[in-house]
Amino acid sequence: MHVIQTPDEAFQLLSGTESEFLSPLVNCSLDALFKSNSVSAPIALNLHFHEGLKSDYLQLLIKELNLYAQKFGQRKAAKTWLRGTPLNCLSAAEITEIAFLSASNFEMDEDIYSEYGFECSVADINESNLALMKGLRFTTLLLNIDAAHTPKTQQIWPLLDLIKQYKFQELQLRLNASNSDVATLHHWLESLLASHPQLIELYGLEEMSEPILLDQLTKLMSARGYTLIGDRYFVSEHHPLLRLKQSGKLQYTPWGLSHPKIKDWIGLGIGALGKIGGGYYQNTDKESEYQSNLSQDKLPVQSSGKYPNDNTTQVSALIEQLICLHQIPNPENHPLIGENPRIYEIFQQACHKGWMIEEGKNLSISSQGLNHLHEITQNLLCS
Amino acid sequence: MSSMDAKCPHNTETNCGDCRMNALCLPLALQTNEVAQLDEIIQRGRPLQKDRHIYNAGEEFKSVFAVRSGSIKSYTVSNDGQEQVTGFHLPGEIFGMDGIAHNHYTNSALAMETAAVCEIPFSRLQELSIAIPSLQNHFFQLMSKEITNDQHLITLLSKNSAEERVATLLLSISNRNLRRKLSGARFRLPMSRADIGNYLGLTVETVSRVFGRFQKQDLLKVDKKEIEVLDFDKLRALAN
Repeated sequence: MHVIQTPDEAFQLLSGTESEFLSPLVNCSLDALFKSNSVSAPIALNLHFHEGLKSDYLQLLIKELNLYAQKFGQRKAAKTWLRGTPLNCLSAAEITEIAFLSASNFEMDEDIYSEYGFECSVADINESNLALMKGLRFTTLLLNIDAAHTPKTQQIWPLLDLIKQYKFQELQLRLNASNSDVATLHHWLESLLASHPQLIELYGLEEMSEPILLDQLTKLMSARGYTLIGDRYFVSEHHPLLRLKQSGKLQYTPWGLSHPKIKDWIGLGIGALGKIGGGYYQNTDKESEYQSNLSQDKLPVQSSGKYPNDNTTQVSALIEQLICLHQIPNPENHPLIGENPRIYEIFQQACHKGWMIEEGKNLSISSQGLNHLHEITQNLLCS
Repeated sequence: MSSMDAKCPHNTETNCGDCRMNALCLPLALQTNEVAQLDEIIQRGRPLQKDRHIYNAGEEFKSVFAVRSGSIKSYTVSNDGQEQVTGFHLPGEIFGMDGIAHNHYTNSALAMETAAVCEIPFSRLQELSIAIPSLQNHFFQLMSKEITNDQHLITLLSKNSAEERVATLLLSISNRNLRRKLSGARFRLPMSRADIGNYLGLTVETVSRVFGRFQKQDLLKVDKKEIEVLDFDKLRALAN
């Protein structure tokens, strides 16, 4: 299964390491995924909105929501997210409508790992939008920032002050560093950290004019009280995800790291990606096909895939551990590694190069190893 | 007779022009039979006695409500049993929208005095929207506006000094009365000083002191719950 990632589409992989995670998927029927879904576990909903869509898009998405409610409506939604540019694409009435309908179709789970979130950009931050989203009880705001321009150019400080006034439970910042330079990135981090976000996601480091290494960034952020989880998320002290990492209970998803209890992730909208029953599906990226399918009460899925065999599934699980926990059980104690000389050799070489170190019963990624996580995962998939 | 002079089908003692529900009915230029259909789903309950709950936090969200007479207080209760007032709702105003995005009410709503409300069951509204297609969208417009305005006020009140908060609240009530074509300068505060303090995050003593100060500065005349605003310009300046 080839995951489509085109600019402006609903889904983009922001990490080379993560793209390796999805690369072994082979095509399978959507029914095969639905058959293996966990009947009682909570789900996540990602509703995608992006610019340039026709006026009937919301009604089509609502129809898609109703179709999924027929299959999954008995399960609680632990996370519900409006992704992309909802504040730019939807009116206040439409946002209120979609908030009402998603809550009507799926009961919301409300524990510390639950999220009711929305993405936005700098241009979307104003009193009316923030008041509406806060009034609709959204808990989490994810602000997308392009670090190519300086904080002053984007007038970020008054916007962060305004966000603070509305007291969302969690402020997440996603910073695109790909067209930035080291000085500007440092300036951004200093500016953003002053607003004490709970999570900062940094991507595009490899594409910077002078790439900054992940271990350098980790040291810088650690001095400010932020810990790296995954390969690009920095979380504040006492963040629930950090606790999950420390207790070894973290799962990788294309939408961020999460509690493993959320088994299925429903993606709605044009080009949306979803994760069901251990596999993935992706909606059509063509508006006409999206409309045509839904007008016939059919899910607008273009492709679906799963890992081809137990071995690939196990290797992916190993990669997931590396991404999420930055460690794996010592190879001598791990059944898959013990039986696979090639995999064993990969970890031996990683240790030899100083990328991994023994820590008790585990092999952990070293500071230097953080810069080579992609390489390690690539080698594992080729094994 | 203009539509604004017409008697409100929801309450024969209220003109449509005074009723906040007119934002729902009139701009749609509903035909008489459509008003009748809408009127059928809007339930006019018996008067509620003081301290009677309209709904409790955690109950399934089924309806939003409009205040016909009296006043309503919404509040939450924290895990340690502390009540936090989250809003005051006056005649013609809509409440209950806190449940819209979670399918259950996050606040409780209580009559602060003898009150009467109209109830709009959401499921019936959706049924009616099939016959009157623009109704649902119009209703969500109304909802989003009310939600945004309520939250604006809450945020405004949380960030200022005691004087600024009290001044902002008084101006808000004044404006809301004006919208109902009542006096914005002379009005009765239906809520207690304790509820005002709770809502504004101030102690009762601070609220009383601020009222006293405003009287000394000739901004207000205060006689128990009766308020007369003497100097709007100064009050607005204080509310910042």
